Amino acid sequence: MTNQVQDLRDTIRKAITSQRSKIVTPLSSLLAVEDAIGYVPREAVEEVAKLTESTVNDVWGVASFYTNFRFTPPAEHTVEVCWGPSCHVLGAPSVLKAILGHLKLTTEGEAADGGITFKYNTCLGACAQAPVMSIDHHLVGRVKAEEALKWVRRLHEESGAGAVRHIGSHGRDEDA
Amino acid sequence: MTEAYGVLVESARGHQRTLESKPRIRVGTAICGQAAGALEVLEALRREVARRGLDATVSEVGCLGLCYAEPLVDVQFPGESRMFYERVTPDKLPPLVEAHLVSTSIPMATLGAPGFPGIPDLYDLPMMLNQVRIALRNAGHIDPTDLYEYIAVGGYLALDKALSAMTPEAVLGEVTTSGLKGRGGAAFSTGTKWGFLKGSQAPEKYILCNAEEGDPGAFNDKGILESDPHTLIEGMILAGYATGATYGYVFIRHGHEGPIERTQRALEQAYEAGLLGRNILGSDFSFDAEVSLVGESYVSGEETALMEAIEGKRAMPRYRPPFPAAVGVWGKPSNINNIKTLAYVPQIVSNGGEWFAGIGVEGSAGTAILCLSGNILRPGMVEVPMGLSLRTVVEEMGGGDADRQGEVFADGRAPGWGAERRETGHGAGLQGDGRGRGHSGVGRDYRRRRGGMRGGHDAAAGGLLPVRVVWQVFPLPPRDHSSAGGPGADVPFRERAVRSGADA
Repeated sequence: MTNQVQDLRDTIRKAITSQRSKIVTPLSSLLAVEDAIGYVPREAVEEVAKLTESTVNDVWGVASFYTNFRFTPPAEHTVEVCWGPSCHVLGAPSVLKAILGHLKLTTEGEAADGGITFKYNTCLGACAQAPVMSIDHHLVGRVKAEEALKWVRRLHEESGAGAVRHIGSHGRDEDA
Repeated sequence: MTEAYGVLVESARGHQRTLESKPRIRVGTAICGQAAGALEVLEALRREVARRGLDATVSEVGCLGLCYAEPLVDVQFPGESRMFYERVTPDKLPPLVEAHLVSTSIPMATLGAPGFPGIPDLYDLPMMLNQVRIALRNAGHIDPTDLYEYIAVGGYLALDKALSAMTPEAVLGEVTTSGLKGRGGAAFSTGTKWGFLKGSQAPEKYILCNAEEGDPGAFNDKGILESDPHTLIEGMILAGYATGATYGYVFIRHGHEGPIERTQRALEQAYEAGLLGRNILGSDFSFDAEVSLVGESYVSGEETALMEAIEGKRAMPRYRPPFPAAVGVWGKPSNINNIKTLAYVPQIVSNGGEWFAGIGVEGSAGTAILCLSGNILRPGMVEVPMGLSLRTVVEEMGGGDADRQGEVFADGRAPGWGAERRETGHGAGLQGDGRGRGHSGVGRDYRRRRGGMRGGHDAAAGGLLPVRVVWQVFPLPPRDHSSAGGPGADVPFRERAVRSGADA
C-alpha cells in the first residue's frame, strides 16, 4: 500500500514538474495531473500546493471550481454523450436513454459492472455532425441509439484502453 | 521585405514546388471531420497509398466549413483541378486511390483549372456562394501543421510589412480605419481597445487571445485553430507590435486536443523560424506567446475570469474598474481579443483598413463567421459579409430545415438576436446596430432584401453587433392551440434563446 502511494506521488511529481507551459500555476498543474492519471487524488492536491507554494485549501478551491476535475479514479473507459441543443434536436435523448439503460444508470457515473464511466457533455464541438458521442475521447458523429449501444457493448468486450481507436466506423449508418 | 522573411519565402516556395510535383490527397481532420470518421479514412488512405507504393502526399487539413460533406477528401494531380469527394468511407478508398476519376464516387466539386465537365467549382456550391473568406481563407486548403504552406500563400507577409515598413502607430491606424469590432460578442472597436493598451507606458504588457469556446453550437474558434493557427499567431504578433505588448497567451479549453496540439505546434514552428521570440525577423521587436489551458467552466470565457484562470485561480470575474487595459493578467496592462478578431488582422494590415471597411455594411465592417448546425440540410461553418440576411445564410447556403417543418433559431453571444424565420419570410440581417438599411458591402442579391437588413429588436437599443452567431435549427413543437397545453405551451422554442455576454 505504502509503495502504491509512493508510486502515485512519483507519477504526480513527474507530471507536474514536466509541464509544457512555461508558467506553472495550481490550475496548470492540476490539469497536468488529470492528463497523467485521469483524476486528482488528495496526494496530487498536496503535491501541487507544495510545488506552487500555495495552500492545500487554495488548490482544492481551484480543483473544485472546474467541472472537468474528478477526485476518484475513472473507469477504464469513458463514454460521453453530447446533450447540447444541436445534438438534442437530432436525437441525443434516445442515445442517452439507450446508454443509460444499458449501463443501468440514471445519470452520470460509473456503471455498476465497472469498466465504463458515463458522462454528459455540454458540447463536444462537432455540432455539424450531431448527435455526437465520444468514446475514450474518440468522436463518433451522426450516431443513433443502436450504433451507440454497439460501441458501448464493444467496450465491455475489449480489454485495455485505447483499443477502441481501431474499431473503425463499422456499423455507421452513412445515410443518417 | 526583411532579409529573414525573404529566406523563409524562398524555402516556402521550394517546399511548395515539391508538394505540387506529386499527387496530393487532403483529408479534413478537424473535430467535425473526426466525428464523421476522418481518422479512420486517413489511416486507411495512408495504408492504401503505402500498399501500392504510390508517390503521393497525404496531408491533414482543417475544416473547409462544408461539414455536411465530411469526411471530405480531395485529390489533386500535378497541374490538374482539385477533386472533392464527400462522405468518404474507408471502403471507398481503394478505387479512389487507384484512379479517382474512374471510381464510383463522383466528386462533389472541383477547384482550379481545368475543372471537370458537369462538376461544379467549389466556390459555386450553394454553401460557398455568398462567402467572403478572410479569417477562413486558408481553412481546409493548407496543412495547418506546415508553416511553409502558410507562408507560400502569403502568410506572415503582413508581419514582414509591419516590421519593415510600418510604425506601430501605422498598424494601429489601419486597424482603426478598418472599423474592426471585437468578435467575442461585445463589438467594441478593436482599434480603440488597442489604443488604450498602447497608451500605457508599462514595460510589460500582454495580448490575450480568447479561444475559450464553451457555447454549445459554436465551433468556429476551434475551427480556426485547427485549420489555420498561424493566422491567429500572426494576428497576435501584429497586435503586440501595434500596442507595445511583448507577451501573448492563447487561451483554450483543456480537452480539445486537436486545436491545442495544432496551436502548440504552430507556436513552436514560429519560434524556430524566428517569427516569435527575440528580434523577430531581424527587427528590434520581440514577442513571446504560449498556449494557456483552462478547465471546464462556462464563465472562464469572460475576459477577467480568463485572466484569473491564466494566473491559475478559480475563473471568477473581477470587478471593474480597473479595466484590463490598465490592470490585467498578473496585474499588468492587457488586451484581450477574441480569436476571430485577431485572425482578421493580418489581412487588414496586408490590404489596408479601407479594404476591410468596404466589406459588410456601415457600422458593421467585415465578415461574420457562422456555425450552422441542428436540423439543417447542410451543417457547417461559413464566413459571409456583414449585412447578408440570415435567411440567405440559413435557407440558401445551409439549405434550410432538413425536413421542411422546423423553425430556425439563432443563438449567439450577441445580445439582440431575436432573429427568426417568420412565415412572411423576413429574417434579420447580419447587422445588429439597427441603423442604416443601405450598405456599402460587397455581394449581390441580398441588396434587394429590405427585410433582410433589419437588426434584432434589442439591437437597436444596445447598438451591438451580432458578431458571434450560432445557427441551430430546431424542429417546431406541435402547435395545437385548441388543446389544453397550459400557459406557454405555444411559446416557440426560440423564446428560450440563451443570451449571454460571457465572452470577450
